[in-house]
Amino acid sequence: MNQAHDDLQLVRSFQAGDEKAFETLVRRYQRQVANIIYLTMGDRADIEDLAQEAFLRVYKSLGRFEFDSSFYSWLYRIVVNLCIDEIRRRKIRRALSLDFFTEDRLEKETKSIEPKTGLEDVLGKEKKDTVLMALEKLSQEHKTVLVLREYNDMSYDEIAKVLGITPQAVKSRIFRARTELREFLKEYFHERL
Amino acid sequence: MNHTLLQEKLSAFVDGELNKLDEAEIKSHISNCPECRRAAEEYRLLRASIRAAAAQNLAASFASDVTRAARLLVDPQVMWGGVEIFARRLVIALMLVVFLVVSVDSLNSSEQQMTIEPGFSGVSVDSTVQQTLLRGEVSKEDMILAMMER
Ligand SMILES: [Zn+2]
Repeated sequence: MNQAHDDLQLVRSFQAGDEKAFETLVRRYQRQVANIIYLTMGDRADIEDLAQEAFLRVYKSLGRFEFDSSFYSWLYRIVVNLCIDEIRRRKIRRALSLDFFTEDRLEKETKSIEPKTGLEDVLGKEKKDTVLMALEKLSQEHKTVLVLREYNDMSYDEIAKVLGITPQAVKSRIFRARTELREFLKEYFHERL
Repeated sequence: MNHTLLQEKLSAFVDGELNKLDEAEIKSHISNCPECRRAAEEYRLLRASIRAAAAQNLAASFASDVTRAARLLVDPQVMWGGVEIFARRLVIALMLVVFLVVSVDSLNSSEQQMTIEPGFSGVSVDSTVQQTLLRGEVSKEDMILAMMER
């Protein structure tokens, strides 16, 4: 809570024209932002560009921040929306690409979209990426809610505010996401428990 | 109670999101249900695994870089101000170079008349101009200008 309060002080300083306050906020949250992007996009290559884009959006709208939420839940909303936009954009780009109708492409598409298939792929990969790859197979809705809960350690109420849904919806989405992941990760759990 | 509903409660229990009453209900259920006990363990392992996978960070310079980029984006004046100063200095420097080339050239021109090279229509590109050109300090147009001045 202390840190959250301190964040708001920094926002005030920024609004009063102190650029260093923005830099401090970036430094404070860059790791969290990097990992939300990593877990959501599933690829290291996306982190820097998207993190930069996220903080540029923050800079542009921080002047209008109204102190009706914590800074971090406002920040995470920006990051999550950015990732959702980016995934949507890529889907469209892929759909428009010329080789979309080749069989090879169609096969790959089905694999990445259909969550129930590709369990063999998950288990074939290196151990440390197993969870990440399983996470990738979740729907965008399930993935986001789980990342905010498991990685960012946010309460259902906080997640609800970030995503603009009810805490009850958060609760059931988390449950469904976990149920799906348990299915993908049967072997992984079997080896460890 | 329906088992699926209990399992959903269990998930919330692991997150510490249950009220005291529901919590007591889940605790007593877990002690009798190996399936839910197993699920709770898996939820905890899942959480630990996700946190372990999230070991990324950005460069130490990221914060200052992004702040600079943001400032330029929002206030292009910062950038154009810099470009304007640079452009003004460049123009002055170029004018100075042209002036030097021209004056050195006209000083030399009297001597040059004595050693006209055959086949080269009287205008020999003297070494100063050539070197200046080679060093890229002056453009071709400037050199032509300088030669026309003679
Ligand atoms: Zn049970």
